[in-house]
Amino acid sequence: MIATPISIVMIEDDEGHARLIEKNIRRAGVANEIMPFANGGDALDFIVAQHQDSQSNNDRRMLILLDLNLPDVSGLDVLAKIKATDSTRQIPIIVLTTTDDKLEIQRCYELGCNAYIKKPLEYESFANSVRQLGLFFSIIELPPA
Amino acid sequence: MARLAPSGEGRSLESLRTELDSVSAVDRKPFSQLIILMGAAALVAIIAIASVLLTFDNRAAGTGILRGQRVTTDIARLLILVHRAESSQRGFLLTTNRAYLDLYHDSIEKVGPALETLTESTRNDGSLATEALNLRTLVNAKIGEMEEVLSLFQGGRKNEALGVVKTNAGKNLMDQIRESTTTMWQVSTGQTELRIDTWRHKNNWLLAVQLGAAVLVLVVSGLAIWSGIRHTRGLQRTQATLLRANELLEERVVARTVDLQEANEEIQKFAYVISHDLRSPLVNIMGFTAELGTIRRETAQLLGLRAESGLARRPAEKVDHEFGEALDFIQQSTRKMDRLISAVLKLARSGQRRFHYELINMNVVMDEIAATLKHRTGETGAEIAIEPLPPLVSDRLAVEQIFGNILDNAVKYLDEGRLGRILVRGRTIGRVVIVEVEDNGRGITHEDLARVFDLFRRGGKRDRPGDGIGLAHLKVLVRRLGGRISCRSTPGVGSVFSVLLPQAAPSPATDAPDAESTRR
Repeated sequence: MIATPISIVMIEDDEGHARLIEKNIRRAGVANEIMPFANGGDALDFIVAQHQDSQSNNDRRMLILLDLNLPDVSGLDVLAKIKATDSTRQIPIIVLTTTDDKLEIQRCYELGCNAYIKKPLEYESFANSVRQLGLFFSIIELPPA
Repeated sequence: MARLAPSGEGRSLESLRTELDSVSAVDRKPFSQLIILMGAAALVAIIAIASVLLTFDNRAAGTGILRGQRVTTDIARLLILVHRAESSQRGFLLTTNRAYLDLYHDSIEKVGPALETLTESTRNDGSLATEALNLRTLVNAKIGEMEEVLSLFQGGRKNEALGVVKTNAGKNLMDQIRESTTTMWQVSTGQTELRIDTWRHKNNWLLAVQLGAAVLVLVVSGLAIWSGIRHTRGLQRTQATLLRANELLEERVVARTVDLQEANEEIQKFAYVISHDLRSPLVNIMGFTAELGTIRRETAQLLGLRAESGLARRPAEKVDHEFGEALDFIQQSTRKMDRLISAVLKLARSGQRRFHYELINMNVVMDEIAATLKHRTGETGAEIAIEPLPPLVSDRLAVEQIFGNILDNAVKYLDEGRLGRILVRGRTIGRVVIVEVEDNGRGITHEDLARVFDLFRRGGKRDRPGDGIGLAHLKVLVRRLGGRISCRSTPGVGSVFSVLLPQAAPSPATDAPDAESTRR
């Protein structure tokens, strides 16, 4: 259990999905702070506010788990906005979604997402991938911008 | 949703129908015109026959007139000859000049032929012929009288000769001859005048008939020209109407096509949204079912049960076992449901993907597919034979999917009883490429054949994994590529899947709607 200063911003409107993701992250042994947001607008405001004038502040490093299917703005818009803003571009983003549409995956990578994970319905493999993701979080120190 | 037909469309169609009716009315006209023309032709024929008959009549009348004139001339000539003979005889009697005698003999010589000529020219003319016979008798009597006088005179018997002259028999004969010729002349002249009258009359008729013919020709030509112009105008009108009808039809086709495209997009969007939205709760159901499984294991551990063992000795273990069974069913069902939703999503998405047309070497594609199936064919010793295939311009991904699926099916449903053999062959017909995949697998029954391309339908034994999606998806793909897929099969012998694909890419206008615009 290595506590790193990285906090996980989870943007997920479905309460059940959010709970499942959190449970799995915890089960994988990741103890980082998880900040859940149920819509894209609030999350975007928060992220931008956090990075307005403190590019060098390591304490505020974060990782974003982004659902593409959001009630207010499209997850793709959130992704595009974060990657288009200088102060937030370096934040790693992992897209979580229910579809495995090749075109959509391609679009996400084009916009600059760092990883794309299909919300797996096979529970075991889902838990496994999130666990691996958790290990990845805990071991790799994300390089400063 | 679908665009309704514009309100103007119905009205313009109605007017179009009326126009087409009038066009067919124009088409019926030529029939009556034909009758008119035939009537005119008959009239012309009648006129022609009449004028020919009249002309023959006229010629006959002309010949009659000429003959009458000849008769008149012949009578005059005969009379003159007889007169000359008489006067030259008298001249000789008075002067005994031999010149008179020569003239007399000459005249007598010529009287004979003149008589013959007259007889000849009056032969077919009843009263004239009789009169001519009478005249011949009189002339011969007169000649006899003159010969008698002359021979007496030359014999020196002058008084006797004078005595004959004094009997006035010669004068009487001469009077009778004059009378006869006058009668003949009158009859002949009267006949000729009658003939001239008839000739004039017939000539007038001929003139009238020919004038009528000229007028008729003018009228008929006028009619023909008028009908030609009318017909041409009718044709032009028809052409214009048809052109408009075509335009209208094209407009409607375009409108319908747009409607259909929109409807199709709606359905695809609907399927996409539905399956997407169904998946979200399913993720929860599956996720929390798994959580329940974890909780069950943890509870079992807490209670010290032999978790998941089939042997349920204690009541608590029995509960745990049933717990596990229920969870298993839930998980199986949700997994199945997920696969179905995935299939619907895939179908919906395949209707949205934009094709990239490129030249495809079908043999390369088939070899690659066969290579991916190697591990499975290798197990059973099945063989995939690929004949030379024609190249085509199409979407590589779609073509790979189509034939990948067909070959996969062929391998999947091979008959265990015999060595599997799959044959891929192709040919080009016109602008269509036909690729056939033939197998000697278990085959498809006649009833199942009809629905192999239906969604979620599977035929035969359910001993192979699958959801009944592959072929339905293929049908959609092939149709989008502008092709057709069909299957024929004999149970226990094998199946042949035929895929018809256009050899070249379609024109840009028929391309699928933009994929991005229909995605959320």
